Amino acid sequence: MISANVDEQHFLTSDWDPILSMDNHTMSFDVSAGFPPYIVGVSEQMPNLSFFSSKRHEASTHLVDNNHQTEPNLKGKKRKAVSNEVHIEVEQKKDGSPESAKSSKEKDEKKGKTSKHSKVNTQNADAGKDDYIHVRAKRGQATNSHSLAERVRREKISERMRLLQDLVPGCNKITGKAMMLDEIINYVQSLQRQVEFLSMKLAAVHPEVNFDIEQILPKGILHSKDGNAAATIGFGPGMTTSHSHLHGVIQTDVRMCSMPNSQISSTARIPNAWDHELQNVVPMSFIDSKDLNGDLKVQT
Amino acid sequence: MHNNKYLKENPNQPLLAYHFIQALTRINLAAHTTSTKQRSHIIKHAAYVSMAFAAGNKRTWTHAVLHNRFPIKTRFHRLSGSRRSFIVSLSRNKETLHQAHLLRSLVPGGHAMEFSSLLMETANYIQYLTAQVRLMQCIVEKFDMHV
Repeated sequence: MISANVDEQHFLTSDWDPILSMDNHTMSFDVSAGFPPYIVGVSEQMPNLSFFSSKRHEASTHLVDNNHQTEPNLKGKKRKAVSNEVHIEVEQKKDGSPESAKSSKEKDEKKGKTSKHSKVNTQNADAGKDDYIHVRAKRGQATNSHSLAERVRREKISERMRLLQDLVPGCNKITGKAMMLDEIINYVQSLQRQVEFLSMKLAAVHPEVNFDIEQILPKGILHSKDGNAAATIGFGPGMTTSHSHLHGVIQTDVRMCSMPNSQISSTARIPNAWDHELQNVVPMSFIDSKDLNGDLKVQT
Repeated sequence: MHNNKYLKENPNQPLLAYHFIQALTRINLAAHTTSTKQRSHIIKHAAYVSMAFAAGNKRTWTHAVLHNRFPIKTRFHRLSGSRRSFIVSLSRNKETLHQAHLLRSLVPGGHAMEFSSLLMETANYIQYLTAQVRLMQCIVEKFDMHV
């Protein structure tokens, strides 16, 4: 019985995992017949399920009937518990409480399509091993694969909107997708306008100052892997007073951003790429992507 | 496999500063031949390029910036008609459609992504934009103090 439960839970997941789960677990029913082999679980794919859904639906009802035969009383007992436990799992996420609150709210919004067999419990255990998304169909919701996929997508989008909410200042109180999007768009536009304005300012200021970056920013900072190199840029041997202000720029700027683990790879080839970029400003040459990937080992 | 969320790294400020200032020195070398307006355009372009360079080639927006010269000529790749209509059809609300389209035009390479990855790209883009703006403000501040 337990194995049947596990199988069912593994089966009633989102669209692209049945192939994988069939490989991993032995299933008693023959669903494998009609599924195309190329749909394998990667979360970002757009589900293309026009012919898929009918077969899925049959199989799911078949499965659940099995379940109901063996555990007839389960549904009655766990009726209250489901609304608290049910949540949608994304990859290795273990924190379910904000999600469950949100999903119970979502459940209230849904029109009650009373499909009795759509009550399953979530499992946290082996989320880490799989790289596809486990989706639970809540009670009173359609188990159509389209709506499952839709729900996955919506959850992903709302999760990312929450991430964006932290980035954009002053968006803590705004709820709702439309207003958030407005704020985000305004913020990006204002940042881009700021860049344009500052570049105008820099162009105006620029011809008055003649500075040499070699003297100001010693190459040591870029070769060292120490996180404190930023703080100890140091006064290079050839510092004159006219260069000191720009040195101050680098120091203040670098100190004000907290970079505890800034590891910068050796810049033997970076100047070449940059020369490449800027010497032909108008007909811009492409940076070789291999150069970029090889040099930029800074983000790990 | 962290397919769903990118690691939210902090922008690499020293790298950004190094490249941008190096760009400024080079631009300054040719200051006598370029007009101020032209130079502001070039500096803005250099800002975006150094931003994209500091962010790495892993992101879609950096790729669009570095290979399509995003701020100057908005010539990034657009979705083919059928795919775009499919993506569009998923959002039933007309207002969000309009907003999504606006966001796609703002973020470089935005037209070639679906909505959830567009949001991730926007987050990353905002991070690097704020870093770049802070850097430029620092530089301008220092110049203003001494002039």
